[in-house]
Amino acid sequence: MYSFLSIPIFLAAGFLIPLIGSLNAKNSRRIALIASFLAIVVSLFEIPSVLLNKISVKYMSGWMAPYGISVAVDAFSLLFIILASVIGFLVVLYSKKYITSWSVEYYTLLMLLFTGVMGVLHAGDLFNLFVFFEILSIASYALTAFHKNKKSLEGAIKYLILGSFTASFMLLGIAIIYGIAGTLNMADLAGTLGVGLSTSTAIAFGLIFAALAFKSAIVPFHYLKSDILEVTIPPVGAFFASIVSATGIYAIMRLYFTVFGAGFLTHHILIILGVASIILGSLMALKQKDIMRLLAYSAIAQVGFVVLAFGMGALVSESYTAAIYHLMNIIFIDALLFLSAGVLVLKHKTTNMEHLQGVGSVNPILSYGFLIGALANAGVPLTNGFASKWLIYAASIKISPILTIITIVASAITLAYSLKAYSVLFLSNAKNPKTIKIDGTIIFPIVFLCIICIALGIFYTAGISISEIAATALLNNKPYILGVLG
Amino acid sequence: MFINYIAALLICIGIYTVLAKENLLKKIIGFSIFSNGIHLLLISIGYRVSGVAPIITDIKTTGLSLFVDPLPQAFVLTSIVIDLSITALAVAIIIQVHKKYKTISAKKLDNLRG
Repeated sequence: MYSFLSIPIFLAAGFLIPLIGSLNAKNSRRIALIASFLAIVVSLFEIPSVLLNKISVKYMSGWMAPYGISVAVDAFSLLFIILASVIGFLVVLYSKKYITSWSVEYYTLLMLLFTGVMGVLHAGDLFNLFVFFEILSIASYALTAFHKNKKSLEGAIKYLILGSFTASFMLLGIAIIYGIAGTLNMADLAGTLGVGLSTSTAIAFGLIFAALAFKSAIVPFHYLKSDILEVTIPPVGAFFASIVSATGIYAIMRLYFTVFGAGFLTHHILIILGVASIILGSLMALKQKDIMRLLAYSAIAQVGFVVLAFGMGALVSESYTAAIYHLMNIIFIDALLFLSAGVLVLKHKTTNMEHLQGVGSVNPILSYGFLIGALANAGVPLTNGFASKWLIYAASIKISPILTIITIVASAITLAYSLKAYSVLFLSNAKNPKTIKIDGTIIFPIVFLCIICIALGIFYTAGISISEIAATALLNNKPYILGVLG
Repeated sequence: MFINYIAALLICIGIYTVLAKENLLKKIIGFSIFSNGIHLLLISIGYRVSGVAPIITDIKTTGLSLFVDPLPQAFVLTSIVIDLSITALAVAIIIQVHKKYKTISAKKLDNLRG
């Protein structure tokens, strides 16, 4: 059990950065880099034990499961722990050019954000899930307000009020669950709640779902995502759009399958929410004039594909693999798109596409990065988006051809707006071209993500088998319950 | 279970205040009322008639007593601390909003559209 160490590592880094960074601001970035690199190492060390024992559990201070705090990692959580630590490292690396002042505050908040994400992914009980979810939320409110200009303050206060309001609904749901079951440990709850699911359990899950869906921007909880991603700094926006969304979906699916046994929330609701997210995200992305808003709506549409695939899983079981594979892919794609467009936003201090016309044409690396991201986003063959979307089409045609038509048309629309954004930013003639000098801290994340996007598209069998292991761990909650309760 | 109704009342007042009031500070106050209603609900769920604290001092006298689960109390304490930090951050952001916009009315913050 090593991977849980990433929580204290990030927390300690968040504590050390203000202490050491106040002497020399450059050190704050070094500490953040070391911490996020260590997190990758400890999460990779976890792989053998999870593959061998299906689950690895750590009891805090030796108190056994239903009484003490337990941290449980299975293949499904480990996949997202590794992805979160990798993207986190890339974001810290990429932030060098962005953060020239206020670096101590920035890296402290970033470390707290990572702590929250890691905590949610590791949590073995609803108590810690809620606490780490709030750490994640508070850090993200503060990061949204980072620029302290009119727009970012507006986005931050809206995000804060609605985010903490919905998080309180989660607290209410947890209170109801405690009232029913008398325990908050997930494995214990799965045994206690059992098969007979009552109305009050369904209400409690609905309340928790609302809070988590707000974080991952599933329609009808999507309304702030585009505002937040427009005003926030692009590296943080990349993390919000990819990992924070995925964390919300992770927590929903963990509760849905492991705790409640996937019986009572009808899969139709997931299908409807997924289709609504796809349609609304695609159509809204078409009319955007702001590059960050466009990418935000694109992220909403892609999350819709994942939710749809999870919903279809009850009818076609391969669909779960497709859902996890697509979630894994959109993490890379969204991060790539945000990071490569972010350089232009940094240079020109605007997110409006009319002002950014052709500014990227001077730099081939950014251009190829954005192009690969855009093609993968639309699901063009030889990219990872194609492999996972193909699985979703294949599953949907077994249920209803209408779903297939919707998903394929949405992919076509995705291609339209992604290529529109690409041609405006990178192909048209620039009004006032400025040379963009980029160094290794920007090239490395973009090239790395490009390679992953292509590699997961060509060697799709590897991606599918990873997702299959994760899907098996998610669907069969017996090893989880036995592993935690001992 | 009289206290449950008070909790429900507080939750309703809190939700109404957050949704209906324009003033950002009033929204934050509404949020506090809402979450304190939930805290009251959690505490009342954890209440046991004639229960004792879960600390074993003497096996003879307490062995048969009804122990209270400390989880809701710990949960509520943690949640109060979280609410405090949210309120502090909210007030700090509202001060900045007031500096930039010269108003704290939620309706007048409308730069983000689309």
